[in-house]
Amino acid sequence: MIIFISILIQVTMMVVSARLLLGQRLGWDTLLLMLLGGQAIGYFSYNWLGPIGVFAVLGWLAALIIKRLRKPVIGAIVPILAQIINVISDYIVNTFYIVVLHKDPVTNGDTWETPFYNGLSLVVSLLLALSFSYLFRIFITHEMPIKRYGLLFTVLSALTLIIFYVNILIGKQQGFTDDNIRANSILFFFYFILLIVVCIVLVRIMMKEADIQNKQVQYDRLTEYTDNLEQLYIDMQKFRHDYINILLTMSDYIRSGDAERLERYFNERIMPISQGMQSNNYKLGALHNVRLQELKGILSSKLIKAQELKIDAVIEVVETIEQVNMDSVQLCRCLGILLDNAIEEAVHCETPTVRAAVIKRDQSVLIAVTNSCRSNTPELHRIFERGFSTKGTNRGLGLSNLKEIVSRTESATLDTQIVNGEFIQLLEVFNGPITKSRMTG
Amino acid sequence: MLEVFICEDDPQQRSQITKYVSDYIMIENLDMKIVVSTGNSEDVIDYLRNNQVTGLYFLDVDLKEDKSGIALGAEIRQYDNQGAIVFITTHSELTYLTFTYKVEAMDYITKDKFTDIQKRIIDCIDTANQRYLMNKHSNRKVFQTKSGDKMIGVDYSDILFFETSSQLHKIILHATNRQVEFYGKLKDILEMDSRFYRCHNSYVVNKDNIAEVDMSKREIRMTNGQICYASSRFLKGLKDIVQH
Repeated sequence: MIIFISILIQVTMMVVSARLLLGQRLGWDTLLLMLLGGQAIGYFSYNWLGPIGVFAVLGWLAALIIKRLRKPVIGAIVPILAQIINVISDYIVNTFYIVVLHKDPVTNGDTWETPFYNGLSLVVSLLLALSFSYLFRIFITHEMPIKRYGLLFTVLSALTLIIFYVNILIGKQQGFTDDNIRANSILFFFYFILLIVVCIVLVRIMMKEADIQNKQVQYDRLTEYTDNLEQLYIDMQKFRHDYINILLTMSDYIRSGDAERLERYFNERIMPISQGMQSNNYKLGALHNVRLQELKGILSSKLIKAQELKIDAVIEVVETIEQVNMDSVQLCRCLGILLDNAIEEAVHCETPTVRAAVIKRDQSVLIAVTNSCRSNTPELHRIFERGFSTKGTNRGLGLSNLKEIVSRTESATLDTQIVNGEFIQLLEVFNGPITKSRMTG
Repeated sequence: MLEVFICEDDPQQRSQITKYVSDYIMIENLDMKIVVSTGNSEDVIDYLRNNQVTGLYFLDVDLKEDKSGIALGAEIRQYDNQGAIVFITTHSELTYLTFTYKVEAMDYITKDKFTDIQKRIIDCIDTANQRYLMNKHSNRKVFQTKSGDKMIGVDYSDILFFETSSQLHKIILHATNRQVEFYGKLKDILEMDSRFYRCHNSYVVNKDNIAEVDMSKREIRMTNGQICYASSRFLKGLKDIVQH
């Protein structure tokens, strides 16, 4: 009975720590399943294998998390970390017993001391998990670290846990003397700190790397934009050179009163020029009003891409945009998705158009992207489903990713509509915090 | 009556536009009147300050004063949020979205494309008139909520369900062919109309658009095939609704 309760407390600790490490991503049903299944497996495997039985429980938790989140690395790493935290807190409480209470903690005895002892270590592990979850959350919100170092982290933490348990087993053989426990505590504690330091350093390096990559992308985009502007300038020079000649010719016709030839000349030579003025290059002109380099970069590069695909792409920025109240990396990701989607869909239309606008409003900056779409476009909620795409599997993550980023950003709201064969996406980013007046039901 | 305002700083163009409008009103015998035709934006605002109107506004974008036509449009919106604003511009197509989303303009007419301005003006008058009449006599109900500077309006019959976003205070409204987020509370929405039903802690469903309820999976299929979730706590009440 007492063993049952103390295992229940241990499993609860694991589940709760895992939940804390992950953030808000698991449903109640999964948590309950983790707890009950973990308890059943833990109870039987403890009777059969002793302390090693914990690995069976870890496997169960990992399987559930992987099934729920479909992220194997996180699924494997979270339970292991949770258990490491539990072991550490267990030893902290152990040391506390020996050093402060001068009492012998009975970890596997059959007295009521054990559940109390476990309860105490539950509290300690909660505190540890809370503080550790902050670090871990940074790690899992970035896609790149997981892809590159996820396996390394998993192996590292699994090794740590195995070393812990080897030590525990040795300790058990020697009968858990006070010295033994103290030595283990110190060892575990430093090992844990070492692990955290390694993690922090790795995360730092990765952040820096991501930053440099970002800068490089931005630089490339701006170079493209500059090239575009240079081309525009060359065009203007040509025009300046031409228009003197044009005026001369026209004045000749006027002087000789040849209205008919003047008209023909006007229609044949001057009209095309005025239409040329509206051609692609000039449509990027409005970008000079965007003072945010990152924003300018992504807008210009996507629009140039669209124009290369023979899409009628227009950008409107009437007022100067100096600030958008959103993390610039996330903002660029959102804009990239919005514009990519618009371009991909517009390409298939008879008269492809993509329009983008950055509009300053009283309390917000509104980014509008519209595109023409085919008549057989599926209904909106189908498009938003994860993994849905008109172009086969694995391509439809754009819109659902966008939705996820926006829902994580407090200052931004998204409005998506299909009206008269036009796909309209409005991303509104509010300048200040959300005030009461803005919240009208 | 729909009142027409014209603000254009070039006197010749102004009289031209005024003539087009007044001729059309006379020929078609519309319930409209030109109340202001001016080159000065202040005249428009003055009139609005002293009168409660629903207007149709023809505004030049490049007025020869500090205020641009767009700013004037935004100011007009403070007095008349139902009115129809039409911009007349030389910037051909470069500001279409800005017109639409900055001041919710109804339409815009370009001067430089050598298009038939008269025809475009008549189009605008017709559209504005139809819209005005429809709003006046319609019993079509529209759900309205304010999100920052923007009014969100969706027909009640188009609303499927509301969902709370993972972010606090944000609500996602799912409608046919529209998904829009705004700040608010589900509790307040529930009180806005009797056809709304709380089917889950984080969902409010429009009862009129339920196609079927899957009791075992606790899913509600909407008329367009979209799935809304219900929790067991609210499922029983839902059962009664579906049966009736």
